Amino acid sequence: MARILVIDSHKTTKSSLAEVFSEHELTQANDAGTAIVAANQHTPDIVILELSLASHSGLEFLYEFRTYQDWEHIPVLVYTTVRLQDTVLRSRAWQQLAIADYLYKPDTTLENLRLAVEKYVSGVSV
Amino acid sequence: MRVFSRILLYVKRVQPDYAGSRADELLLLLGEELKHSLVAITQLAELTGKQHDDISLQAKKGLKTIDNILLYQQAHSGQLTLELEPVHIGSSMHSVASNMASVMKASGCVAELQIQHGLQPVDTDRRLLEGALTSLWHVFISTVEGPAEVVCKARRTGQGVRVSIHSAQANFENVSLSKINLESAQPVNGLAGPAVDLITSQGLFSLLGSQLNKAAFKNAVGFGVTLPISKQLQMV
Repeated sequence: MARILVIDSHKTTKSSLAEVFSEHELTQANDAGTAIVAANQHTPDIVILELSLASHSGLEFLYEFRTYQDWEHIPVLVYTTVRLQDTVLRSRAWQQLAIADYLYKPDTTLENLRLAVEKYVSGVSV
Repeated sequence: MRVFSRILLYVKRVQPDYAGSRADELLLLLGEELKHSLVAITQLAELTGKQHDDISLQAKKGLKTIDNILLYQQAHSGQLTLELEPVHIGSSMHSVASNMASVMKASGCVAELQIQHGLQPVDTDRRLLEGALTSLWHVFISTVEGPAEVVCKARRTGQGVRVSIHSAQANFENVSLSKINLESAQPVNGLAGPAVDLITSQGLFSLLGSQLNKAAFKNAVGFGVTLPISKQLQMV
């Protein structure tokens, strides 16, 4: 069982992920501010992040998240409806954010997301 | 999806002076909002099992359509820079067919790729090319009553590489490509709905400098486009 922090403001996605990751300890946040507070209370083993959030963008969260030394090595999976160009994904700024994986929601089944998460949290126990 | 395309067409037709950045912004926001709703449908369909295959198929198709409309809009408005490179048309055709396998299967269509051996690469932007081909496949999936075989061919001609799609179960003889474009909001004879996929495909090919046109086959009329062979490789 691992601690997963889901940052997404869409109700259906949150309830779907709660079902997919029911065997893990899931914390959900609607926006960047709540997510930082949640991460502070229970350091996650992995973060699943939507870039398009209700307030502030997911990228703003990422920049702030990576400024904390304790969270530098926590894998962040970007799971989003925002289609990023290859040039962005290859850019130095993107590389510096140390994103574990970029998963475009329309092309990613819940099963594929589950497998991607398991790759990083297998063997982790809370 | 029809609502989405109608708004796009309405804005461009009724307020051409508004069709600048505000319309692009509106389109982007609308596209992102619709994507969330359609993703929610695919997620629920996946969690609840196979009984919702039809709904999931429509949602997946809608997502691809939105992607391609936004791709066109971004490339057309200059937000996306074209990356022209030598592309093997066969690899793009396989990639599109592979990405569309689940949608094809759910709609009862079977894809057959006929690629002439030894084709030279074409000069194109891979992402736009694959978007245009995907939209064109959608035209057939939406039109044919499955089960149907949809054939995609690539062969060498004097002008370049000719890519065409046809199906014995679909005949587009009555469709006039010259009358449809992104400035028109008129219904298209011979096609269901506003034919947004055909318009998008035509637009994307046009950005690549190629003209989508009708292509006659044994017992049906489909669509085809000629892509220029890579000049870099011609010189080698």
